[in-house]
Amino acid sequence: MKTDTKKGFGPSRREFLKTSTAAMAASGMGGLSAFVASPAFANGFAPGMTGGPTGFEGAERFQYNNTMSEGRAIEGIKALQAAGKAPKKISMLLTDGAIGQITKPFPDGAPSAKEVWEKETGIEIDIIGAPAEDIFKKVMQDVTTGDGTFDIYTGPWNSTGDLVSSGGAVNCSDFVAKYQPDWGDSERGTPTPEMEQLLYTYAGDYYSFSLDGDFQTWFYLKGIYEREDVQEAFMKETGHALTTPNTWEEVDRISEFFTGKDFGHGTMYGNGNLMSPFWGLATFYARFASMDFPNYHFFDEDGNPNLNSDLGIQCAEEHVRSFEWCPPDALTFTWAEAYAAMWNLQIPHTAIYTNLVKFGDGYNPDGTAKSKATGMIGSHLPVGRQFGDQINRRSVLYYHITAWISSKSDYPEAVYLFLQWLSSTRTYTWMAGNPGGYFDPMQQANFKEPLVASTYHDYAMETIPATIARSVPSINFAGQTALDNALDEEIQAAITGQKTAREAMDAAQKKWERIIKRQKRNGIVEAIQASRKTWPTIVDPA
Amino acid sequence: MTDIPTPASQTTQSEKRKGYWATVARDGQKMGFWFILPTMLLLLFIVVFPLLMQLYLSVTWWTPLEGIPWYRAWEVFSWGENYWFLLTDPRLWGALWRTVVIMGIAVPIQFFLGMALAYLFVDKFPGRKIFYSIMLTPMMVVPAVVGLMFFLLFQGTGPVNDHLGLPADFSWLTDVNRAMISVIIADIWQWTPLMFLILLAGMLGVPSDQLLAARLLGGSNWQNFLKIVLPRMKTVIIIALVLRAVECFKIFDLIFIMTKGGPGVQTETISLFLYKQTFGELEWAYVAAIGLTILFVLSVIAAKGLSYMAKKNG
Repeated sequence: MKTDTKKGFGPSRREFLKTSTAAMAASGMGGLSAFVASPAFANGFAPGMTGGPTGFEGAERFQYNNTMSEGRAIEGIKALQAAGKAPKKISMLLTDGAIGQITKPFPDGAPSAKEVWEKETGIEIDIIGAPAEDIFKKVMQDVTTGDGTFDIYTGPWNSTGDLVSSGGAVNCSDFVAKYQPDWGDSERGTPTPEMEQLLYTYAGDYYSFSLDGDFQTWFYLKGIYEREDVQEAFMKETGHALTTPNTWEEVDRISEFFTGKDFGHGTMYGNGNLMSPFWGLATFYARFASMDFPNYHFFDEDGNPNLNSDLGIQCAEEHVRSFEWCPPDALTFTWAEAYAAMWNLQIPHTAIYTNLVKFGDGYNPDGTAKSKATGMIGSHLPVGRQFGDQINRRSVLYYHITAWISSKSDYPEAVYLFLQWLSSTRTYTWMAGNPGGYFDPMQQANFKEPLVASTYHDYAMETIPATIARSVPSINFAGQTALDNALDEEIQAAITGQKTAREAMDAAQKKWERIIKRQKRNGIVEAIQASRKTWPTIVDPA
Repeated sequence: MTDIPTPASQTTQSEKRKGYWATVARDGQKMGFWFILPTMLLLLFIVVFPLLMQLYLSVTWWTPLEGIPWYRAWEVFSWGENYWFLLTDPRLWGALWRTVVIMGIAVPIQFFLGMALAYLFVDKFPGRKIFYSIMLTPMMVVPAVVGLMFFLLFQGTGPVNDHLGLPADFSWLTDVNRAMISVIIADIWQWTPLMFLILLAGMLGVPSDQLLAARLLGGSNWQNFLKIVLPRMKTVIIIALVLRAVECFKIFDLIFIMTKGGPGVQTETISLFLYKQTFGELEWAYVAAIGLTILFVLSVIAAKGLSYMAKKNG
């Protein structure tokens, strides 16, 4: 992408007219010029609003003006266009499954988010898809060997440290100060300033744009839990009433009970949590985080791993044991197979991505149920461990589609403004309600929105934010891939019986120590210390 | 070519003016040098530069995460630590061993099956062409598709368990030993046809008059096969085995789709290991050290092999 260069001694008549019109739009006469330049925008906007989606009931909730985050982004783009500093096209590398949320119109009568942006700014968004598991490899290929194919990278939030460390992401702190996004808005944005830091910053600077809500949330088959015969059988076998679990001990008891039983829908397997390579790390981290009160960190304050501590080994033993209650082939499961297991009533509960219910609970436009589990799913708070009369319920933030601006982009400010527009609380809330992709709700405004509630269901509107408040970050600092892979391999070795839990944790500890030693010069210890500060301290009464 | 001396008397004044280039025009060796110089320079750039770059990186700790370009890798110089680490890296040696195991089991089975099939197809029979086409189909399927196919076949609730009457929790791809067996079966299924094709070509090349003569002299089929067919096919057999062994050593797609090297790293081969180290853990300097070591070892083996063959051929 290149800016137009002046070939003569002065601007041509055409260039002059183009520039002066755009400059007028960016100046104090913006309102008038916007009306003159694009009269169609005047239709369908609520009073005082200048942009956003139109054409459906409730559209005004997602509209904005220049006192709002999205409006400031649009205004900023127009100023850049006036100054000749905006591109004609922005290219975005995005996980395949999320594309629909930007490109598919929602709800009926509405445009797509992409259409709204392109209509308001004239800047085309070119989206290139890649599989979720491999997208960061493509990002690093572009960073190391590419020629700036993409203006925007997306990938797991966990990879932020790796990308920043490689110099592949633009530090957006100045842009954030200039354009004031509403990510941390106390009413509409993240629930706490710490969460804003966690999702949008790295080492104190703004690099990330949060486009997801991958806080592992517990779902269960309420329709089966509440059946009388199931209740009776559980009581008879365990001596306890079958209720939603509060602790990992209760989770394991329920898992053990359901395994091998058939309550009229085929054989069930008790443990629906992901245990497979890559995806299963989230399950391990969540269990690990609650091993001590209020938290058990992956590293101590000096950056030394806690993997082969007594609690770390106990966690690994419990994790390995829980595999007994998994469905066959669980080690080859991605989230998709885990979703299917619950939709087919094969597992009673799972802590997983929130769009499980978006895609599997409800009815299709033709009136057919989305899955066998339609109407049977419920949600509950994360589980933890009981310490005295308190429980430290913990979940984990893992994967979580995040965008970064490529350091090779020719127009970082314009790209920033697109991402501010996309990730601000009005546009993002509108997108989060769209059932066409993976972007899950995570901002406070999202959970107050009827469209989001209709997609993610009322029963999750309280449990998801409560889960977010109790979530610990998984690893996201430089060296993350190596750290996660090292631990993952050892956990898999323990699950498949090649090593004991202790041997696996000892080996993982050594690998982590080596990686940390090598990453010390890249500030890994400081990043670990910063990450520890973002862990929640909230605990609940037992 | 040898130089043909030109008598001084024949040297004309104009040739003297042309000087060196006139000499080149008459000197085959010099002319050849100038003709191949551009190609040599290109090759130097293509081969030597990456090698030097690799050597340079291999003695550093550089990864893309350093945030500095590769040519400044000296800032994280590590001496021979990567080389020392590869000698003691159990994961690398494990991957290498598994690759050899897959190769050592799959290739001989493919050879024997290919040979048997070739023997069946060497004579004409009704429907031979149709069966021949069917036989060759697996090797025309994209390996990733074969991987997906066998991934589905070997699911606990998949057709294999179903047909064998095995329970759903009899897991193929997540069991330490059975995962390896599954991968080998998939490789055999896909690449036996190639072995069959090459061996059949070799078998059809055996002169029929020799076989006829042997039969007239009372040789049994088995004797003919051992004494005439096999010796005549020696070169073809070596080519087929080497071709498959080399390809099998590089096995990647099948395993990547079927097991991703799991469970744990139990089906991780050397290609998969290098891929994960390069694009997953971004350990480029370590991978450079491994690459150079493999190159060195293979060069030594090749040199020894060539030297052995040269001695054997007198």
